[in-house]
Amino acid sequence: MILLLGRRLLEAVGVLFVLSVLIYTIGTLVPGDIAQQMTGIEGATPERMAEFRERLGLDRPLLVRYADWLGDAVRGDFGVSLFSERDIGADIRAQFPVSFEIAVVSVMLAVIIGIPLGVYGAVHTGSILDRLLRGLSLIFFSVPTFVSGVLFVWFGSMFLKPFYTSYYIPFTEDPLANLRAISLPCLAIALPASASIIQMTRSTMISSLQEPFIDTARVKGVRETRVRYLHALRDALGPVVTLIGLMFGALVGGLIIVEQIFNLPGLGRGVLVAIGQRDFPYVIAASLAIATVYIAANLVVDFLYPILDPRQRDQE
Amino acid sequence: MAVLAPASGPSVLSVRNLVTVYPGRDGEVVAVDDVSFELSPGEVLGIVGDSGSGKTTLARSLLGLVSTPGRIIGGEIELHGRDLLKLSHKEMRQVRGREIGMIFQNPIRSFHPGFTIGWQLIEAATQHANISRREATEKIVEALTWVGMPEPAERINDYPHQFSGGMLQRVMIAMSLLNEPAVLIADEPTTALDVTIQAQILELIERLAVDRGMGVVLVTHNLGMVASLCDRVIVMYVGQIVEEAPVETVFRTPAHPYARGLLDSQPDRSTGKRLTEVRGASPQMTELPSGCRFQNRCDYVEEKCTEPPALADLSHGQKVRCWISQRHGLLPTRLADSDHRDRAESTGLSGK
Ligand SMILES: Nc1ncnc2c1ncn2[C@@H]1O[C@H](COP(=O)(O)OP(=O)(O)OP(=O)(O)O)[C@@H](O)[C@H]1O
Ligand code: SF4
Ligand SMILES: [Mg+2]
Repeated sequence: MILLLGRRLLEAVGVLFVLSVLIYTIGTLVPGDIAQQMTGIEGATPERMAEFRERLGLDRPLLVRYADWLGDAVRGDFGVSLFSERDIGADIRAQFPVSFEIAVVSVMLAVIIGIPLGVYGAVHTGSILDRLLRGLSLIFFSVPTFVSGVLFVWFGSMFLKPFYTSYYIPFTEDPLANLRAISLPCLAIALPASASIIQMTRSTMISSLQEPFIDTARVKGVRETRVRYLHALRDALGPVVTLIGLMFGALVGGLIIVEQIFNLPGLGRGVLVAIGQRDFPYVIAASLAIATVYIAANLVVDFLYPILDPRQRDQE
Repeated sequence: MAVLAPASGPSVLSVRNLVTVYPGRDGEVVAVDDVSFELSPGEVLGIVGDSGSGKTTLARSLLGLVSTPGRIIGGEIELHGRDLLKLSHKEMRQVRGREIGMIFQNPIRSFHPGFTIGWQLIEAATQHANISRREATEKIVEALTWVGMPEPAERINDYPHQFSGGMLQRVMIAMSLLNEPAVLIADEPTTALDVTIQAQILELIERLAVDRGMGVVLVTHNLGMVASLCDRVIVMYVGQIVEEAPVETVFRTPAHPYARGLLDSQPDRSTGKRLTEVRGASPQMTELPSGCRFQNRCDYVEEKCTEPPALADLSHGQKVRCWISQRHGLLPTRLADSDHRDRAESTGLSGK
């Protein structure tokens, strides 16, 4: 089992490496010559452009540039922004915690909302609350984040005035102010996510409750609450955990939108701005940071899975 | 063959006029229709019948565990003189596992894949007895030894997927005897197992009855199993008991045409060939004919059969739900009667 997990870890590093190649190549080959753009399309004489290319090192072969970049990157140096000339590594290190916090809190919220409601729906299938939940989760699921986000901003500034603030303050400086600022954006991301957790939990829980081992537990004389919340839920959790891992990937789109709408100084907003400016060193670095989180989340799922399902331990 | 329990001995379980229904869109399905029987300590009672005849529903009704949307709507289930149908949920829970145990068809799926078998057995052992973990562990190791598991003390830390189906069924039996229940219900306990393993499991079940005095209700499709293990047998057809009798009686002189048909359709031991099939199909539970439910398949059908026959005593503890055999005291010969003698002999009942 340890062997298996060790291999997973190696695989994750490998995936990250391949990703860095892909992202770097794509980021470098995007249409719109960076040199042309920066020197201004009008007054760009071929000499000026050549000089500019040389300054950025764009005249060297891609492979050499990548190797160079990788060498710096593993030391946390991602170069400087083509626009602001600021240190990209430092910028990302400042923005990353903001996005990471929003992502983790959103997923936690989605789990806290989603699992109990999904279990409730499975145990009381067809009840009024179950039908209401199914309707609601369909709505939550289909409303785009940019719509719900805007609604939330409006709602927050209209009705939650004393509570809601739109200035981001790091958790380490003032936890309460921090939570006030991120609560609504997190909710905007968590609602659609919780909708899918509700659905997944409900359906796996319903099928777990029909498993013969549930009969066995009842035949032993086990209390019904224990049958449901220990025996059945334990069995139903596997697919839900996988879903939560995948959720980190789906979250990125929501993050970009929400950070924009709520004016939060995170990676998502940074990426959006940088894409507009064709600031490719920044986009590459930020994309890699996001991919790392996604890979790490799935690595955690890989580690959790054998704990939840012992049958996985004996593979290998 | 288990020790023959006297038919008149004190019953541990008496079921009287039990009715279990499943409400549905096209009407109510009466899956157990007015079923009554007695079970003595140490007796193995077989329940046979077509698929869908209500065997599982009957078995589960005894524990109050009819699957949704099923409901018991009438009758009595008396265990040690106490009517289980009058118990509260909590009291019923105390009956499960402690006074009535049950084992199922699919041992592999009947264990939780996420817990060790030790954990699952200890849960059973501590449900009804206030004992420490250590005492419980000793108890389960002892039970596992009794069912013939090698190295039980080590293996209790293994998960279900690390065992074979046959071994898991042994574990299941060990689990069901932890609290020494008076009654064990086994719903097709060997159907999912290899033929070679089947015999071992059956031997264990027989020992539960003979050595431990448990009353066993054995649901099965396999008449060979009935012949080798059961003292009495109940034949069910579309929710009703159509025949009940000591095993030898049924094999020698089946009184219900359906029971006779079942015996004839058993594969012959020596040739492996089925002699006949019971022709036709059971009626739908929602579209029952008035009168005898077997009339569309019966070779003996006559006018009278449009009235519903009652289950009535013949003799020697044989009961039958058929106008013809009730009138004649037995089922008259239509097919070559020698066939049935052969059947009885080839299933090992002759000279018993
Ligand atoms: N959960 C349920 N909901 C509705 N109807 C059911 C349910 N379970 C069983 N039935 C119906 O009740 C009748 C008896 O089913 P049951 O499972 O008791 O038969 P069985 O004799 O055990 O059959 P088998 O030999 O296939 O196991 C069948 O007509 C079946 O369709
Ligand atoms: S009552 Fe009539 S139809 Fe029913 S089994 Fe007897 S002979 Fe056949
Ligand atoms: Mg059945």
